[in-house]
Amino acid sequence: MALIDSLRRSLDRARDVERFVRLVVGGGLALVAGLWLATLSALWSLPWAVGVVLSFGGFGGLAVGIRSELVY
Amino acid sequence: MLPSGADCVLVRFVFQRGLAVIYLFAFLVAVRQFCPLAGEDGLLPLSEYAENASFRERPSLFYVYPDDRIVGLTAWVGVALSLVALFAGPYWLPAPYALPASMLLWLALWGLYQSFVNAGRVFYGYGWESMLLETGFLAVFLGAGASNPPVVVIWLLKWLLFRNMFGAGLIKIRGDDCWRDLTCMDHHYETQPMPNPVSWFAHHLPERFHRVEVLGNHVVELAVPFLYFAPQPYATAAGVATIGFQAWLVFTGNFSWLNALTIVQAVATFSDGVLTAVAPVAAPAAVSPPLALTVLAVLVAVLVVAMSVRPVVNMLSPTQVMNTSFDPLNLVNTYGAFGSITRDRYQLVIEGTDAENPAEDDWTAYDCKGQPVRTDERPSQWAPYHLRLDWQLWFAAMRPRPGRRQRWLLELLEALLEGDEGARSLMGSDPFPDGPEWVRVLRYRYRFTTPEERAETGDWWERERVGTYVAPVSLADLQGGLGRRTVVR
Repeated sequence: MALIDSLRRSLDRARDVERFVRLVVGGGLALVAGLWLATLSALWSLPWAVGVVLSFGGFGGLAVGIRSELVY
Repeated sequence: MLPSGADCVLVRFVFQRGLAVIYLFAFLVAVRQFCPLAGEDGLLPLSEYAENASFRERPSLFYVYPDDRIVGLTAWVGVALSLVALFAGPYWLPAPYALPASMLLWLALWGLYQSFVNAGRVFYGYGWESMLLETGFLAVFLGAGASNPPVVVIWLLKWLLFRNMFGAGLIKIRGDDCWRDLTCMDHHYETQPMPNPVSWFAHHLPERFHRVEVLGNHVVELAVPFLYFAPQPYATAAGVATIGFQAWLVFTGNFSWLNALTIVQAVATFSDGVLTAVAPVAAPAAVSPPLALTVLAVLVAVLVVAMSVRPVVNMLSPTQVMNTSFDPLNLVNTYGAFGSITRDRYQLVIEGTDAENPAEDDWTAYDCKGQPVRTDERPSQWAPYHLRLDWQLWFAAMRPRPGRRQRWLLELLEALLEGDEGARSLMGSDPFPDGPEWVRVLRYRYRFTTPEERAETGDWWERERVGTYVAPVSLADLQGGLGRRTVVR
């Protein structure tokens, strides 16, 4: 019971994830998924193209996420 | 192309040797420092831990045997086992014995070091202690000899490296404006806990370089870690970027074995194909790991995934806390520190005198091993060795007066007044072999000299006194009338 309460408290804390974190995590996961898809697929096939698009999208998410926090 | 343990035999070998070196340093530090810091007559006596702590919360051999002889024996056994691990002891055994010997060896190292971390209290409260334990725990299940490592353990090491780096990246963006306006490195080299011989030069690099450094930090800590899980050669590229980043930190500062341990973890991002391409070695032919080890590794993976919920939630939370363990065995932890960068370097200088009624000129400063005291002394290189007292002095100097967490400082002053050998061994120089009549602690603000000032004076530091941290006290004051509570607020 204490463990469940502790997990619930932890999840409550994570509910308000900042926008930059959502962008970075989403972008990073998309990048990795895209790279795996592109690597495991035949060159120029549809899955390969999806992988490439995912990779670029993920890269963009990472870049926008990091840039959004900079005030330089 | 899919992950396979067959491509990680050399990776495992290199990783294990690197981890053994870190363990060796950690146990040597325990040999040299644990007793004067946290032993029977240490600054924080071992009996306090044994009497006040709960074994279930902080398990340690020293809970059962709070004895300096056991501490010393444990530390030396740790040194010996680290050397066995470094020279690949289990690999020299006949095939059937290599795997169990390897598991027992790494388990023993993990168990012994656990005892130091859990009994060391404030002197062992650093993120790299729990990180070493978590890394060491995973090493138990890597196997040895003629069988491949279970690939799932390699991925658990990547997961650990990811939490290490990504947690550090997040806490920085959240922790201090200077990480967002890219100015943190203007201060870092000067105000870091323990500068090294290169820090002065790094501090004086052009401003634009410092901006690029901070931006590079964000890329390496927030974006690159995802690539640890990508296929080769992207994972290797991420590992190389991480190692390069950590190598720069090693080159420009003393962060104990934090950076070296991260470099060791980053080896897990490589493949044997990469290692054989850059080094004149051939990957040995190996067979699949025994079924029992594979099953055990999968069970460990399930455990780690389940225990990762809280560290992950902490990382994602806007109120992220720094380096924290969520279980008594430090199995799966959250990492990240240096979210805020101090702009001024405060420094405590301990002074003593034999004069009965000392004037200002009668005081002589004790040198520290790693913290700057003399302004003409070039900062020293210590990492990956860890100077635990010096690090605590750096933390203590952030306050204008000692607080409850700094009660060890008064124990240190008392031990210096008594001429205690253990306490003196923690200091850099020993101007009073038999103990002075009085000691005091002054608080200074230190800054690096400019290149012009250094050319003129030869000094590395410029300092100004900003206060008295502990007013002059004698042995009688500390043992009787004055009382510690008067000094510690």
